[in-house]
Amino acid sequence: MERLDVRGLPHPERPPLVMKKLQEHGELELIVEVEPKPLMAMLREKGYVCESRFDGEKWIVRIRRA
Amino acid sequence: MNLALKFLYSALVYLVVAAFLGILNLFGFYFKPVHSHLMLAGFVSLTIVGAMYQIVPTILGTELRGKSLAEGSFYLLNLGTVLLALSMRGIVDFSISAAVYTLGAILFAIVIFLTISSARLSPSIAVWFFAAAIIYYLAGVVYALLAFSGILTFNIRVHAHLLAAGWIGLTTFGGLYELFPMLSLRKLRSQKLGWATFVISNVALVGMLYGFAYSEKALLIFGTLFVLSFYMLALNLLLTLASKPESEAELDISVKFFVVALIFGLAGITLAPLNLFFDLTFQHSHLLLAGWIALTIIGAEYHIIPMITWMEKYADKLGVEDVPMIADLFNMKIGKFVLYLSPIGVALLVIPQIAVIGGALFTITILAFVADMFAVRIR
Repeated sequence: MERLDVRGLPHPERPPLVMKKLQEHGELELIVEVEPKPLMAMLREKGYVCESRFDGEKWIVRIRRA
Repeated sequence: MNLALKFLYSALVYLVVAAFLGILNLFGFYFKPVHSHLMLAGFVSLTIVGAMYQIVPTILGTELRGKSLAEGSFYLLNLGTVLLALSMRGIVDFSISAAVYTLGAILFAIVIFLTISSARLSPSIAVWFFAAAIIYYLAGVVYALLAFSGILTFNIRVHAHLLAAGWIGLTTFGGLYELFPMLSLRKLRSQKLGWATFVISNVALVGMLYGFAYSEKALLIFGTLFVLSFYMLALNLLLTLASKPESEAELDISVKFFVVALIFGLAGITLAPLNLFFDLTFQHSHLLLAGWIALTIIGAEYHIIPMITWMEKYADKLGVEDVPMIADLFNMKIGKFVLYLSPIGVALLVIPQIAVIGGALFTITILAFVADMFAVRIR
């Protein structure tokens, strides 16, 4: 699964980058500092499944088509 | 258009109209009740309703329930706001405008509580604040409806504090507890302090309402307790900001607005107990509502409006055609202009001798902000 680490990127740059990677690869493992609830909700509306977990240091969100 | 955005944009129209009426008020024209109701029942309340329709399902990992009721609340709350403004000028009977607005508020409450009941994730502190705030909202509008229908005696301090402190204040507490850590990319300093804030602010509010009706002494005690709860919120958020960030990303413009707003909030809430001894009502209310609440909303909207718009309009076109990025949807120079000048406007507004200058400056920054947010739809 393609991995995308957006830590350190400004907030407004993240959703477009995530959408671009999803279009290229169909699924994605997103690495982020805090759980991106709004982004996850919007991806669900667009037919994606999101599963998030905290590994003690960072949030890992697995995104794939439903 | 997304329902939340419909609420946010209609609220911005009330903001512009109410700001102009506020200026006229400073020039001696009497628009105070229309100004305050367009600001609070219109701009602030509709913003909160729209934001909750977006944020509550997001936090709870579920979908908004009762979408047709939510659509209905949009029309009723807007109609109710306009009718309330007309009632303030003696054109429409209060019992009619209050009934329409109350019906809209009830639909909104049903939608949010249905959504909460279908939660897949356990509710965060924010959701508890929102739920409590909605109860104060209903209490505040039903209280006014009953009073203007001749069933209850109207006490304006009870009405104002149910809505300004209970509904608007607690919603903002909850919103900040959710958005501040998320947008500053930091962990909330203390969850326990957050829960303590929730309990103390609610105990204080109930005590204050009792105090307004029956006892100035109780009002002083519980009012001071509410001030304490505000200090706890501010301490928790400022300690969060002082902690090491999870990454080196530049501080989001929304968070910068939140911090400035919090400083005004601290000033405004500190004046609250002094109101019992000196007439500082204008300073107390405007530091809190223009300084804390309005600037917090402006900050939040710099994040929410471009992000929802981008996902709605452009996400599916990415890779198919050239699309703007989220940061291209708003003008950062205007954002900084509003960030730097609106606090000066609020600070001058509360000094009686130069309130007109402050009000005019604040209104100019509001116009710039609103124009920038409407431009998001066409950029």
